[in-house]
Amino acid sequence: MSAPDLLIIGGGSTGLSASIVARELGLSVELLDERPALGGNYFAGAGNPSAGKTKLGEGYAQGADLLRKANGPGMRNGAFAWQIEPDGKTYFIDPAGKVGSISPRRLLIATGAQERPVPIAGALLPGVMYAGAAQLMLKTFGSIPAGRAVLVGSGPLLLLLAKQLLSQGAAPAAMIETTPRAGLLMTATSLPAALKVPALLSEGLGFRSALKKSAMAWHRQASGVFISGRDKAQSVTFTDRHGQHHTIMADLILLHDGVIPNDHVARQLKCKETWNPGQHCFNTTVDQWGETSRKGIFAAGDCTGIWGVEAARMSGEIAALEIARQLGFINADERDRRAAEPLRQRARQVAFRPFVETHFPPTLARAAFAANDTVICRCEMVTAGEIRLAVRQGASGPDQLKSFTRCGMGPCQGRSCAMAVAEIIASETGRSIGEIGRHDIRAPLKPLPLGQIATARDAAEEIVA
Amino acid sequence: MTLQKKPASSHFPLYRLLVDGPGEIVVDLDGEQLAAHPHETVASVMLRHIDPSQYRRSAVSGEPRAPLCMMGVCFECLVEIDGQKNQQACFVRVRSGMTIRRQFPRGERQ
Repeated sequence: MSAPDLLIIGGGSTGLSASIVARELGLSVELLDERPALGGNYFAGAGNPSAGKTKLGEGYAQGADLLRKANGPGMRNGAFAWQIEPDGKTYFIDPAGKVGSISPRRLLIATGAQERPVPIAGALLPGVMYAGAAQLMLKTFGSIPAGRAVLVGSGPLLLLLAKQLLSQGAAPAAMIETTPRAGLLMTATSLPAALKVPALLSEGLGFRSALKKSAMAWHRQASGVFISGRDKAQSVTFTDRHGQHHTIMADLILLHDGVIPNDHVARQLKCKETWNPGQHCFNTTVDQWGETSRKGIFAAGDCTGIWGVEAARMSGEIAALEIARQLGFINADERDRRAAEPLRQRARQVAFRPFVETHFPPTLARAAFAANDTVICRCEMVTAGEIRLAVRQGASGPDQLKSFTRCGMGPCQGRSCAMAVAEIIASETGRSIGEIGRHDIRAPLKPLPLGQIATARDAAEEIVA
Repeated sequence: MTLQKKPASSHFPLYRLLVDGPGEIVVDLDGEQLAAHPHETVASVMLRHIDPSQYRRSAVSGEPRAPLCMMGVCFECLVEIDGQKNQQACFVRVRSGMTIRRQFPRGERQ
């Protein structure tokens, strides 16, 4: 067992930038990342020798530099944090299957974002993946779709993926965009703040013009999307804005409907959270430095709410500065002096978000509108209809629903269904999603063989006690 | 009807390498030798070699399933690796001589 000043869970842009600042100020830092390589989603593969050769843009190219600066002792890959105590003591399992524990003076949760789960008909079929998966295949492994790829859904990442595939010579066959037509009023209220971050705005407009020039079929304002196939996906059907139905053949269907926080660690610690109606997801409650409702436990970056990669890097630095102050490495004046610029830059990024949120509201993922035979819990095969029936029979919240239907009890522990469950219960009962919440998260944070847990005596004693 | 794992070589995989080259290492997938590159994960190698309908079957419904997210969230990529069942294939890097077994419901043999 080790006892560093700071333990960071998650080696993406937030965790890496926090580790750099904390080390610079003299703190001992350890980091646990469940992936085989550091970088998270955004900088996945940025440390590969071949990364410089891929045409993935300026922002991505900065990843190699960030990874180089963050490299050092105490960075563990393939290490999964499966239980976290309120004092920050963290149990993890390493790639060899051995359990260890770390007792840090401060903990920073930096677990990033995940795809917003899309429960539509046919989404369980092999050959259906999230857009983020195709992006990881490209960035990490230099792999591109082999057959006809069709992109379906809404959000900046869908446009980015289309452009990235195009620039690799792997043009998607079609993009079916479900983004609704932007309302003038919505734009008028969020545009002024967006104009303060012109780089992001022009990047988005640049994608659209590059895509328009390509041979990719581009359908907009689509609705009523479903996927068909026998033992794998074969086609995707949708209704266009004129009410016409279309069916497009596809080998690989890439779904996307925005991203949500990957927040199981904060939830296991029962950190306070609030419903963010603009982002249509829960946000872990943090102060401006990133400290959660549990003293000494910090959370930063997209695991607290969707603010984007630049804001994530700033939040990592800001959290490291306050942690350094709490531990006496710097005083408050020094913290404030160093934090001024990242706080200012983050505020600009955060101000841009309402523009993105109003343009790309959830579409495919709106489980309240899912047909009764649509599967919501992929692991235990629980349909929207079964959830609605259980709610009418008295399951008033996600935890009761679990015992009624097993929804959320499979290997993914509700990572795919929790949001949809909250939305269905809300629409059935007329209560707000924020009030309903999600089911309790308990350790271990993913299924582990008991034999592995028993390899560490102190860990085993904790569990028995 | 019996559900049978088809050999890895009968395939129409979802992905291919942007720049194809000989794999530096070899892994064993249900008795077949697959070439792989050292930075790849078990899931990414399987997605370039096998038909997605042959990846695994749900233990609950028996229906075919394949990786969905590649970021450790969906648990649809579970395979047996070197005798350890239910491993997240998207998080495990390939190693030379690694033995990968696809998980089909009990009693069904290739």
